[in-house]
Amino acid sequence: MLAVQTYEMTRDEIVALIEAKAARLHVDPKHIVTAHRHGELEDWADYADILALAELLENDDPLFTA
Amino acid sequence: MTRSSPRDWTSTLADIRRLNAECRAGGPNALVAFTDLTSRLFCLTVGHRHATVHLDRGERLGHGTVAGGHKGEELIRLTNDHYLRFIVSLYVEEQADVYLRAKLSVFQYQLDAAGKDWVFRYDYARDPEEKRHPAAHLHVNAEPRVRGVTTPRGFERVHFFTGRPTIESTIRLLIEQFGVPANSAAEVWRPALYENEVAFLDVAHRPLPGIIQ
Repeated sequence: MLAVQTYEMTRDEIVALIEAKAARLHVDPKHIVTAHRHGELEDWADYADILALAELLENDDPLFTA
Repeated sequence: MTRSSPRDWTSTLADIRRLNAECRAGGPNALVAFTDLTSRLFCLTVGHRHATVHLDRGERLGHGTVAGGHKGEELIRLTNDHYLRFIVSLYVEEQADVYLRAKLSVFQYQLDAAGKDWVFRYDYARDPEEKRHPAAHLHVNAEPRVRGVTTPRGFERVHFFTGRPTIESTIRLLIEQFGVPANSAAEVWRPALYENEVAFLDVAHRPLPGIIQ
């Protein structure tokens, strides 16, 4: 089988990863996630890694609500 | 990952059946089972011997993301030294007997690690707020050979409606249409993919192609 790894991350680790990915794409992670949730993101798959990581956070996480 | 003997494939096939059943059973072990199942499917078929997959989990119970590579990555290296961008966001319903569900998935074949030279991509998103476009669709990074085709945002941005994209059909496409070498013989991987895909589609969310629900 292919090598398999499991990463158990804290909230802060997830947020840091999201912010790092967003910085590489020059986008605001809060905007990406909220726009996606409101159906306003035209090409969500471009940001699928950010959106998938955001799913690991609670819906009312400060990253989205602050 | 190393090439294995036929006897090893027998073991892998048995593992695939077992792990598929664990995914169908749902519950807290389903996320790990899906990760292992993904690993074995690619091991049997188009996964490079140094390819990896990983599961990300946070503090939100029942949620996880399976992706290629290591933490923060998303690429599965293929046997032809190209890549599959592989992301599946998953969650488990609270009811114990409910199959593992995918929130979204992306399967993108690309020639380079950066993804500038991508070839095709299957996208799937489950929830209504994500259905600006039909839940399941295909993008192709190409230009039409005929003149007069109007696509407001470029041909590669056209959402070709599809049924539910599966890992198995994507692997089959890579092998049969793009010539990506398989690690096992066709007599091994064909029935394995078929069996696993049929079991998945039996319980999968299958949006009608082109319908925004």
